[in-house]
Amino acid sequence: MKRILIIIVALCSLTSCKTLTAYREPEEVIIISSVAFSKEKESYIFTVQSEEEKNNLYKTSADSFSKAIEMLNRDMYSSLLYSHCAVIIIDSELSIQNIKEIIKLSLDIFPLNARIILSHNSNNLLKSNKPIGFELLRYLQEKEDTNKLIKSTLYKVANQKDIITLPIIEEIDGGFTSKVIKVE
Amino acid sequence: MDIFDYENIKLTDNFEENTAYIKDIFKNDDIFRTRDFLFMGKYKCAIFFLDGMVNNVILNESLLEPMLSFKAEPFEAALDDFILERVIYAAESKKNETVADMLSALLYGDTLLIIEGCKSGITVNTKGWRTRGISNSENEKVLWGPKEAFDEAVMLNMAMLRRKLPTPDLCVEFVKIGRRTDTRAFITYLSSIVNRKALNILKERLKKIDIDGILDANYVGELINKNKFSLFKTIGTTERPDTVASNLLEGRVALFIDGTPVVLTLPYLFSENFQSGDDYYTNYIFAFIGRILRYICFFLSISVPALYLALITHHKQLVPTDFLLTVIKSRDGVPIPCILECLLLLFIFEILRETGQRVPQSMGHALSIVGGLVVGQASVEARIVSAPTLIAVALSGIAGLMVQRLNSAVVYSRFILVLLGNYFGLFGYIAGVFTLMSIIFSLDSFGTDYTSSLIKPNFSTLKDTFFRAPWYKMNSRPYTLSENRKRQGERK
Repeated sequence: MKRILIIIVALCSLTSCKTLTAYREPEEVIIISSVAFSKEKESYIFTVQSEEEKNNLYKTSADSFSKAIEMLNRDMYSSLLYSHCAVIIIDSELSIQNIKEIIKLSLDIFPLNARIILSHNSNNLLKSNKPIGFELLRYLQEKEDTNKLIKSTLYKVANQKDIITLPIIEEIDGGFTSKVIKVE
Repeated sequence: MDIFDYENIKLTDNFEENTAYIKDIFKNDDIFRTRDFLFMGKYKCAIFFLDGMVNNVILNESLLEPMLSFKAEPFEAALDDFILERVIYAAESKKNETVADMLSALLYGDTLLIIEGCKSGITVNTKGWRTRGISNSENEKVLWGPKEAFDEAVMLNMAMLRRKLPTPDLCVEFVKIGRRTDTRAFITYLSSIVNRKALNILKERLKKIDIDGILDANYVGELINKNKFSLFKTIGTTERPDTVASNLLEGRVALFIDGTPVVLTLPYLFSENFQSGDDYYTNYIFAFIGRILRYICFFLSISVPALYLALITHHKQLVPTDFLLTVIKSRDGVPIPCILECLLLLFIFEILRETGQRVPQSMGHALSIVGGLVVGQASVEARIVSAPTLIAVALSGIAGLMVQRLNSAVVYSRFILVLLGNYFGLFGYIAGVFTLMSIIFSLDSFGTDYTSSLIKPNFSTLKDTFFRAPWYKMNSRPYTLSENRKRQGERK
């Protein structure tokens, strides 16, 4: 009798688990491999790219980045899975305040080992239908072996104080170029 | 009427009446044989036996020939005592007072001799029924070490045990179970080291059995088991004489039952599920690998499908990205949800396993082709199931085969954990594992904690659990089993 009671208590306690609502079949989620933050005029643009071969770009704009993220999550037919996001691309035109806001926001959403990079035109990187996240990650990992400053994980960048060191990446002829800059 | 109905019935001194009475009991039995003759040319005698149950050579040479060829001589004792002492050659013969005793011996292959003017009947051991004989152990195979397994004839089994333990310390207590089958059973133990508590509990529970027939050890096993609804075995079963001998040497009790090659051993501990004869017959370093693999496989067999489902449906963030992408790609086009896919494969695996045990050996190849290619490869190609799920279920199934003794527990636990993992994620799985552990730790086997060898902080009991210590280190018996702990003396 005691044993049955323990089992019932154990099972009942599970009904309040958050994981109950987290149930999704694997094909019901979109795995996001890279995201980009940019600004056009007064609207903040949030772009995500999944690992699918076609139709893999999803974009939204709002008054702020947090609203843009919220809107995209709400409006998508499938839930977006950010936990495998490899690269966070920030438009280099954004101000230091915006970058700091993005980093703060990213800490709640993206994995701590995701790489943060700058790009002169972030939408250029995510423009094509070709998924770029893991390819870019591999490129960065190769570069990290030779230049330690390129290593820009979210965790490391979030711990930097006033001056933030970030790699700036551009796509040229199907390849990438990189250099490290300080954002003040 | 059963044998116990004849318990108070005795024969008279009227020969014709006695023989008619015995014949009347077996009037519907066509293999019942009888023969009348004169002893010393004047005393009427009759023998009764069951055809096929007796050895005709023994019957002729030890009973009929001496009786018929005996030359008349004067005697003062009663006729039945005189025949018993002076005439019959058989090594085992005795005088019976009640009809129940006579019938019991007769039905077990003895020959009954009724003599004119005597109220008692003499039974002569002429047993001669055929047995399967000693063969290799099918269910507990070992690469090295003894190969022989028990037979269905309990006396042969007792002889095999005696050969392993030629010591007067070996006690054999005879009990009869089953109102109609009158099945012979023997409680065996080593008197100086036996776990008395377990022995007494066994005797008490055996006394309470009131069933018409016992045809196998499992009948008795279920009737004497306190944990009736437990998935985990709390009574050991073996068909190997060496295993019984080693169990007795650790202070356990063995119950031999006539008509089955399976012997029950108790108390049975959880760690015994992971032991194999080979562990003791090969190098202890090598044995460690096998032993630890069995523990790992038990964990894998109950956990892999549940963990797989929990991770891909609830905790995708914990799955490596490449693996998650592979799962998603392989799930493309599969019409059923992961849980149904998993349950379907587990169900098919159980069908294949059950079929594999029952089909003749010659059909085994066909079955493996059907199971491996048709159900496995074809169902993946037809997009009925996905390859990662198939791999998870196959790994779980194969791992489960490593711990055959925990088969029922593994099958049920696996299904329950799969459901918990799918609907509650890792929290459900962990809750399930804790519940399972609470069940295991609450069990006891004939007065001994089921997990006593694992939880008591005593290194000597651990020497034969997760690993097997070298023999020179196993100086004492597990204290949870026997109070007489000294296994070996000081080495010189």
